[in-house]
Formats: sequence, structure tokens, C-alpha cells
Amino acid sequence: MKRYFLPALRINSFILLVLLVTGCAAIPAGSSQSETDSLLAQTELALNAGDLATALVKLRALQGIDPANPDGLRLSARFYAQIGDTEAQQLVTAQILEQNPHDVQALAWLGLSALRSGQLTVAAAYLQQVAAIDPFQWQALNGLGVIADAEGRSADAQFYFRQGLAVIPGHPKLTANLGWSKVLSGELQEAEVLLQDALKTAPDVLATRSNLAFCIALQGRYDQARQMYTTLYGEATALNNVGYAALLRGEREVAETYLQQAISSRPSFYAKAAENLALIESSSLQGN
Amino acid sequence: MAEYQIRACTRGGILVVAALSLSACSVNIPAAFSAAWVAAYASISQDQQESQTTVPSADYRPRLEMARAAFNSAQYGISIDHLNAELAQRPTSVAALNGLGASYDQLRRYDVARNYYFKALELAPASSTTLANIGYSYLLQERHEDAAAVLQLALQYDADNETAATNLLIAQHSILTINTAALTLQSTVAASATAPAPIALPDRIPEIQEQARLSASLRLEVSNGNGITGMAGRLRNYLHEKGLQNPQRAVRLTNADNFAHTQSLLYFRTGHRQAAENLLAVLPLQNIALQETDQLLDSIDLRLLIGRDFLADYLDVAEDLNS
Repeated sequence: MKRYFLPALRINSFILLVLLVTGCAAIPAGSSQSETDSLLAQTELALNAGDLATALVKLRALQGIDPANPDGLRLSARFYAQIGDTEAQQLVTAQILEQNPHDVQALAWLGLSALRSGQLTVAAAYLQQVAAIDPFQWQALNGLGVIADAEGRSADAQFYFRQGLAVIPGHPKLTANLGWSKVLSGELQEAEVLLQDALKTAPDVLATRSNLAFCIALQGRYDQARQMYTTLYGEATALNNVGYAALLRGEREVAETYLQQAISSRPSFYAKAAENLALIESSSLQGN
Repeated sequence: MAEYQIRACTRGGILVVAALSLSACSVNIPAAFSAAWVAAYASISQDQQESQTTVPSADYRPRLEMARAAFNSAQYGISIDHLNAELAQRPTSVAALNGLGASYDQLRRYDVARNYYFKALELAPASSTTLANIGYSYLLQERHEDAAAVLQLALQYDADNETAATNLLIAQHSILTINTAALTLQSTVAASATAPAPIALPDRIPEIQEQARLSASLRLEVSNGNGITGMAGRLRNYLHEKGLQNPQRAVRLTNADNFAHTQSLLYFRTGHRQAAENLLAVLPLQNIALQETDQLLDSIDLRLLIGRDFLADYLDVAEDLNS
């Protein structure tokens, strides 16, 4: 019998716990297909309702009667994604791929997981497979864009993000990533529009707000950027980041002023700002 | 990564940091580890056994049902209150997020609606329901091409998603109509710079609403005024699919006085405007005029006269697009 949840010891302890807590026994083998279908439906319903406790109970019951059910495996993977158990999710994903090596969602999970852990080459291999099988898989397109940006291939990155947006127009993450890619390629006005647009839909995403502040700072609107950064990270960090942007713009004196203010505004030693300031000074010496 | 520093100034370095930072936002990963979470669940369950009054209900259905009922009664503020409460208790509730999106859509707060929809999509990226709701939202905003793209994606994940399929036809129909109008304007070198008038969209019902704004006491006459055989019957079946109970009893099929009616009309008895608007909201048809009358048969409250203007045209367009 294949397992698809966790190593045996953990499975047993989970089942035991669930039995103790809920009194819900696993359905014995030989149950009908309708029971499987019913459990699948109930699991999905519970997951959609955010009722993870019920979802777990149903998944355990499903495991008892049909442990290799492909839909059950997918729901398990989704469950583990929601509770953040990446190890279990990967085990389940591996089982899905045993059954179907071309399962798009499983490949995408692996690719995105590798991307999150910084394994860009591994991630790219999986995500390219996904995109080849399913050109509408916007998560893979987004991931490929992120990888391309990470490798300094802005044009490729923007191509992927635009492809993703063609599949799912208005997606705030794709929009924000395209905006950030524009920042990196120096197209700051376009970048600002895109980042603002993303924030209209998802105003609470810290990374987008921070990237917008940086984009604004790179355009020399230091006060505005500083205000935005201050609301996000506080005064000292805001001054450091704006100073850094000024440095990138080649405005060394402005940068120096901000960085010195950053150091002064933090009661403890602000190593990062001090390092930035030191680099300005050393590069000035070299320039002289 | 909140801070940038000069040492990370190499292009690749910043890119990796920033890109991964962005990427990390893409998947909801609660901090709790599964074992800890299960322990928490055990604790809650024991509490519930001891005291039902101090622990929030573990059953999500009553609150979602209340939200749904409020939504169906157009009490969107109340619906939002219920759904926010539900979301506070179950932050990964895709259903609550979709419900909030649908409610804000009805309040024309499309930006807020999108926020909820895309949060739902983060939790369940392959949710055809969520994608259909996003597509619906775009339709309301007359973003027809965007709507079509998202609705196609919804159908890719669930080919049986009837709401998505219907709304996709509406989106495609709208695109086609506007494009045709634009071509006509170009070819005739029209002096007016006015854009083609947007097509009034039927107020399609999002998934949260399920099927039913149709009253159980609906008494409708569908009258064939264009001579196309079976049209009224198909419409009755359609209404049944949309949740109309006892369609054989609720819908009376008749032929109009002639088959040359060009304009479709929905007549309603005085005092039944809301029922008429509710019916319009579920019809897959466009540009139906409402007309109040006291000339209806005693046994009916609404009379839908099907003219030549839209239904045949609508179906023809749909068939063309499918081919």
C-alpha cells in the first residue's frame, strides 16, 4: 500500500490523535466509490471553507479506503501547503508524479518550492516543463519570470510576466513582478505605474509597497520615498534605503546625508548604513 | 528584505533577494507546523466538549449560509459582516474570500473585490469558482477581454463550470459587438468620436450566490414572439437549471399574437418590479426592456415576450464562436 501523507509513525500518531479527538474512525477497506467521492467532496468543501480540522479528518478517512486516489493526493498537497508542512507536501507531490510524471500542478509545486528555497536551476527545470505542457499555467510563468530576473535577463522576465498577465489579466503579483522587473531594467516610470496598479488590487503586500518606495526614490523623489519607507520600516531604515537609492543615482552628497541621518536616528549602531557610508567614502577616495 | 545595502549592489544579488521576496508572497504558508496545529485542534475540540458557549462554532456552514442569504437579499453590508467574522475565524476560507469579493462587486467596489478574489486564488490557484468570479467582476467593469481570458482559464480547470461558460459567451459577444461597431465606424469615417455604446450586461450571478434569486412563487409566461421553434421551452429549461423550482408549473409557454415581434420585453404586474429585475439578473440575454402592465392574465405576474432582437442573435453568435 502506498503512503501519501507522512512517514508511518507520523501517520499512526495522526490517526490516533484524530480518533481520540473526534471519534471518527477510518472507513474500512472495500468501501464504495461513492464513499470515496463523498469524502473527496467533503474534503474540498472543508478546505474551501478554511476548516482545516475537518479537512484533516476527511483526508485521514480517505486514506483508509483509497490511499492512492489522485484527487485525494492533490487535496492532501493543498492541505499541507495551507499548513506550511513542505516536507509532507513534497512526499505527496512525489506520489502524484509517480502516477503521472506530467502532472502540471505537482510539477509546478516542486518548481515553486525549489524557487522559494533559492534553487534556481532546479526550479527552472520544473517550471519549464510545466510551461511546455500547459502554457496557461500562470504560476509557472511567474516563477520563470522571477528566475529570469534573478539571472539578469530582464527581457525574458518581462516576457514571462506578460505571458502570465495574458492568461490572468490584473493579477497583482504578476503585475508587481513586472513592475519590479522594470525597476531593475531602469524603466522607472512604467515600473511605478505597474506597482501602483498592483497595489490597487493588493494594497497590503509589503514587498510591493517597499518596491514602489524604492522605485520612487530611484526617480529622485526622496521625500516621498522616505515617507513611504517610514510607514513600512521606521525612520532609520527609510533614511538608509533612500540614501542607497541616491547613491545608485550617483548623488553621493545626498546619499551621504541620508546615510548619516540613518546612523544618527538609530540608538544602536546601524551597521548596514555605516557600511554603505564607508563604501561611499572609499569610492570617493578612489575617485580622487 | 527590508533594507538595501551597497554590498548587495551587484545586479544579480539584488535581483535574487527581491525576486525571492516577491515570490515568497505567492503561497500562503502559515507559520504553524502541522503537529502544533493538530495539537491546537485537539485543544479546541476538548474545549468544545466542555463548553459550547465559550468556543466559537466549529461549523462554518451557518455563518456562510447567513452570508449567502443576506447576499441573495441584496443586503451586502450584512453579508460582508458575516463573511468578515467567518474569515476572522478561518483565515484560509476560500468561500468567505469569494463571498467578500462578490459582495464588494455588488457594491461596485471592484478594487476591494479583486483583493479578496486574488487572495482566494492564492489559497486555491486551480479554483474555477474563484476564476469565474474574477471574470464576472471584469464583466461588470466592462473589461470584456480580460473577462474572457480569465473565464477561459476557469473553464480549463473545470469544463463543467456553467457560470463561467455562460459569462464567457457574454464576454465574447461583447468583444465581437464592440469590435464590429468599431470597424463600422472606421469604414464609414464617422464624424463622431463617440465610442460604441457599451452593452448592458445581464447581472450574472456569481458563484457565492449559487443559483437562486428566482422566487419559488414565480409565475411567468414565456411567449414566443419570433417564431423560432422550441425557444420558449429552452428558456424554461434554462431557468430550471438556474434554480427555478417546478418549472412546468411556474412557467407557462405560449405563442405571441404574431411571430414578428422585433423587440423583446419583460412585462410585469404592478408591484412585481423586483421579481422582474431578479429574473433579468439570471437571464442569459441582453437589452430586455421592462414594462409595467396590468393587462396580464390573472395566473401570471411576469410575461417575457421573446422577440427577434436578441435570443436568436445571441445563440447564433455563440455557435459562431464555438465553431
